[in-house]
Amino acid sequence: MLPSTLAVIDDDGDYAQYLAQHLQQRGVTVTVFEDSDDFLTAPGAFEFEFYVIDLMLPGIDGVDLIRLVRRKGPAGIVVVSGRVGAEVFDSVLRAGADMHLMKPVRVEQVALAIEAVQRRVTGSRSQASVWRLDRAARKLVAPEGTRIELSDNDLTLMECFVAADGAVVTHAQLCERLGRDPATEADNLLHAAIYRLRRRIERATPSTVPLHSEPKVGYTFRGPLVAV
Amino acid sequence: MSTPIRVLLIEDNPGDARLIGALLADARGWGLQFELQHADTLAAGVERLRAEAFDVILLDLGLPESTGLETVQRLLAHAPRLPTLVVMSGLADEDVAVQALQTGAQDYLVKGQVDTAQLVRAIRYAIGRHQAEEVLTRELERSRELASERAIRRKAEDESESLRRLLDEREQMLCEREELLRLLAHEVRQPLNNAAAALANATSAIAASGAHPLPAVHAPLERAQQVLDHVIGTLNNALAAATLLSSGEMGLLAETDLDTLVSLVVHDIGADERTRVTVEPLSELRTVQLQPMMMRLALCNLLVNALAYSPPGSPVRLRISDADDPPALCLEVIDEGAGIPQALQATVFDKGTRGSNARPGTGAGLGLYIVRKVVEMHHGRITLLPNAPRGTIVRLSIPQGVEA
Repeated sequence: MLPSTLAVIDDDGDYAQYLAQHLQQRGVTVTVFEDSDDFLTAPGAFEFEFYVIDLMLPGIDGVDLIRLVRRKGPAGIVVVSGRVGAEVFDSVLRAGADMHLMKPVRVEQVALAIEAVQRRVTGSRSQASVWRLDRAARKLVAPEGTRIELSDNDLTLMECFVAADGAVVTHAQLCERLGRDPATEADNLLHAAIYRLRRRIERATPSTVPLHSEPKVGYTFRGPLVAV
Repeated sequence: MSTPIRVLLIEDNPGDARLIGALLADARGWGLQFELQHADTLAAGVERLRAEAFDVILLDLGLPESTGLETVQRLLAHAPRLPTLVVMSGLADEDVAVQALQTGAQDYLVKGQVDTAQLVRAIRYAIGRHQAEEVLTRELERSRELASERAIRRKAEDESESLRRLLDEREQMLCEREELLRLLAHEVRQPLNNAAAALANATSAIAASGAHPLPAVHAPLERAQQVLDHVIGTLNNALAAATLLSSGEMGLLAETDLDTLVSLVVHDIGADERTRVTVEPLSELRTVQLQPMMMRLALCNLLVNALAYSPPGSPVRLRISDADDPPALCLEVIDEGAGIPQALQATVFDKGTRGSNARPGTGAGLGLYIVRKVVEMHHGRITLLPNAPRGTIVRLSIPQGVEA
């Protein structure tokens, strides 16, 4: 599933052209901007359904641009950059990008990344995709209706996420609710519990699980979640 | 009145001692004060010298324990840092007294021919000479010390100078290295990538035009595509080895969509070889925890390697499964090649190792080294297994459910 409109912001004209051609052949309306100023001054700059951003831009820095686009809405953002270094990857994701691809990438690979992100975006960001925690039945109900059996630990974790209402639940809070002392608890038991919860859900439903790790801090459940 | 001059008299003859005492007492008339102590043997004198400080020693050369020059030598042996020394001798051994001057005495007196004025003058001159000698000795020592200090300092300065030069050179080289890496990454790799994209577009345009592909056109195009893919692959590994891996910092583990990662990796393989690769997804995991950039590179290297070291056209499988205790993602690349010789298995993941059956122009031996580094960064494990009936299984085990 590809988005219907997409902005490519990349000063490498050749590359942007090949990518645009490829995506247009597959039915996407693509607009190419060769620098961030062109992009920012264009009417409807923030109305695209999807953004492919290069980091090495003339004008404002790529990372700032990502932050700007993310502040305007939930559109998918894939960063394609020739910059190497793990810190680039981290800063890009922290700024709000959904995926980072290191150049060189073939245009088909960018298309693959766009599809994957678009799936996740439409899955977890639409209003219809509400997850329900059925306390009486000890089950999690996925947006499309699949009912997932939960273990004691799973149930405890899900209750934490319900209470947090989309905010971060810290490692310490989670440990405490699991009945473990966060000071003496080997961290991995918590991470393993989260891993098992995620796997249980992913096995049962094709829905994207909006469970995210906030490195060094905790976890968030970013989709709408209600207890019944 | 000035401070009294402290005198130690070593003299065994009580009469002579009394005489000296009387002469010094007379010196008060010149405004000089002496504080006299008397020892009647050399041993007693040495003891006094150790106990307190004196300005001058009056030493009789003829003592019960020793006589002549020997007396001076024995005194020197027991008290190497002597105050001013004036020796006294009888008229008969004046020669010996003169020799004593060369041994360290500052002056000599001949017994029985001394009055107060002579004694006082002798003592004062002797002290003066001794002090001058001391000053000279100290100056000499000091200048020797200064010279050696200066030599040490100069040596240290030279050393730090050459160290600084070395550091500057190193800094310069690092800058050049950074610049070269940047050049390779942006000015070389990206245009190559664009050329590959142009070639791919041209090939698909020819196919779309419906024209029957001429072998004379198709084969060179395909060859050019392969060459570009290969050069880009080698460049990727070299850049990764030089930047991402050398810092030892991997960055954050990210929740990564496994299907997307695998598709990306498969599409890193050139179109002509891609058809040999099949993916066997045996795991229900969809989201895995890893560093996607690095894992993409590592898996791509494993596939490229498996394709290169197995017979043309033979299948290469990427099998994905998971383990539960402890939670781990298991990635296996399975080929039907000749297998990795036992002798090579220990070093196959080292930098610069290449298979004995490597085709000419197949990389710099960085591919599997990068695989190893990436797995190490994930705290994972690599296992080499034989594939039945032939070939190799490379299994990467990447821990899951760990601190991000």
